[in-house]
Amino acid sequence: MPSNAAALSRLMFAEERSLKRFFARLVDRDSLDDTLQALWIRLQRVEDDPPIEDKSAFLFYLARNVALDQGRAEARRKRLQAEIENVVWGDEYVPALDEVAIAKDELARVLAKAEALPEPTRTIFYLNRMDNIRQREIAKRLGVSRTTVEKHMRRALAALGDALDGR
Amino acid sequence: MGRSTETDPALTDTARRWLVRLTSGEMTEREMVQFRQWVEEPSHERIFQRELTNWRKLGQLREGLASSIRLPSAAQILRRRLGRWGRIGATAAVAVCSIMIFGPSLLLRAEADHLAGAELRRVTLPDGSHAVLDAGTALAVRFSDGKRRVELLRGRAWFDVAHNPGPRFEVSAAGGIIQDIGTAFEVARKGDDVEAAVSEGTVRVFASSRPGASQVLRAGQRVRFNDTAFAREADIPVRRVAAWRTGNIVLEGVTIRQAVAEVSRYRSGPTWVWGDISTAQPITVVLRSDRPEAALQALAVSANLSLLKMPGGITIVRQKSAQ
Repeated sequence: MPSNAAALSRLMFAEERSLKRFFARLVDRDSLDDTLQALWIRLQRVEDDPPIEDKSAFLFYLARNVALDQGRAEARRKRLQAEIENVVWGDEYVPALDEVAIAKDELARVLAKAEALPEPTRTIFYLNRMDNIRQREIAKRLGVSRTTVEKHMRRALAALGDALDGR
Repeated sequence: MGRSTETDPALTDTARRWLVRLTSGEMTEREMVQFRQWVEEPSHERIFQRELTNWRKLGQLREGLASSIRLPSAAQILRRRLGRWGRIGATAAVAVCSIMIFGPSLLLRAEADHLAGAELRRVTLPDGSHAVLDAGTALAVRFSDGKRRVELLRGRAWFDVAHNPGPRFEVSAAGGIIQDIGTAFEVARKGDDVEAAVSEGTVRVFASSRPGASQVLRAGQRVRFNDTAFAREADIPVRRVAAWRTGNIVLEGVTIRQAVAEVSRYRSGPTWVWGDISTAQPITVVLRSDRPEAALQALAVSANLSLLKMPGGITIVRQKSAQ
């Protein structure tokens, strides 16, 4: 490891707390560790030439750039997520408070179908639809891949959607 | 079923695929553009509307389905994670870090390694100590380098420490350390503050606001500290330490709004307060956390509120309109 990078990395760990306080102004609280990691990766690319006089100032200069990038990416993700929430829960496609109650007999039929779903399809459906847990998270919890989770969600929706459509 | 395109299985399947993507938490901006293009076609939109309505309806299966869902217990998950990294006392310098979040919040932090649940959890730690975690509590287990340490990231927990030779059991929270000397005790995070209270035995508290000093606490004694301050709080009867762990929510002199917020932490669905529900009188109540719906109902009756139940477990709390 070039010595600038090594010295900056050491400095980064020494300054971890103040760096996090610095990041907190630019990124989400939840991504402070990610930002710190992004900074560490960036530090590894610092070359030895030219020599860096004020390492602390340089560290915070890079920290600022990394955090700004992270903050911009977060803002875009939030915008996208807000748009998605609006599609799924807003009244763009279906009036939000439209008659969505299931008739009693229909509910019993769909519930029977849901209970008959094989595992892990049933649990995955429950976690994703009822508990609103992200697929990535479910995958981690159940120790399967994310694409597997998505596959099970498609199966669940196919079975339950057909039941609701009267098929 | 109407027009033939609306029963087209391939289109129905496509609409469902879009729904799965939209609710996956993984959708990209590029996919969103593709979705918008796809749904622009009127026949696609009709099918999407129908499948979206179905998606929303499915929220009503919650109550019926919940009983048949068997999630691995917190302790099982903890054991599984520890198993992956080896046993306690392993000399590897790898910090064993398993984070469990027990909380009712619906969209939990995306990248954290967590577990949702709106009720109290009792977990057994790798050294045989027990912890009771309140709803919404996050605990990281860091048993490594010969240390018996857990970190309280969020919420509150009560610990009943197993006595065995070796390092002292420690709880770290917000830069402070609560070290067991022979004990059962509670650690709670309250905003930036940490509160520690002892129900049995003795603990020693180290806080970053008091470098080089520590405070010994005995049964019934409490401290509250943060990065800059450290204060003894008034002693309380031992049975009141972590009273929540028995499933009682004890609320003394709180506003009805605070009471609703407290109860809603134990509900699995979101609780929204509509408008001003304040009453002049602060209230004191004891409610059961294992029956949050009944607790909310009890609050509603006592404060003249109405509860509106919505699909998806959502409950809207509002002032009853004047008759």
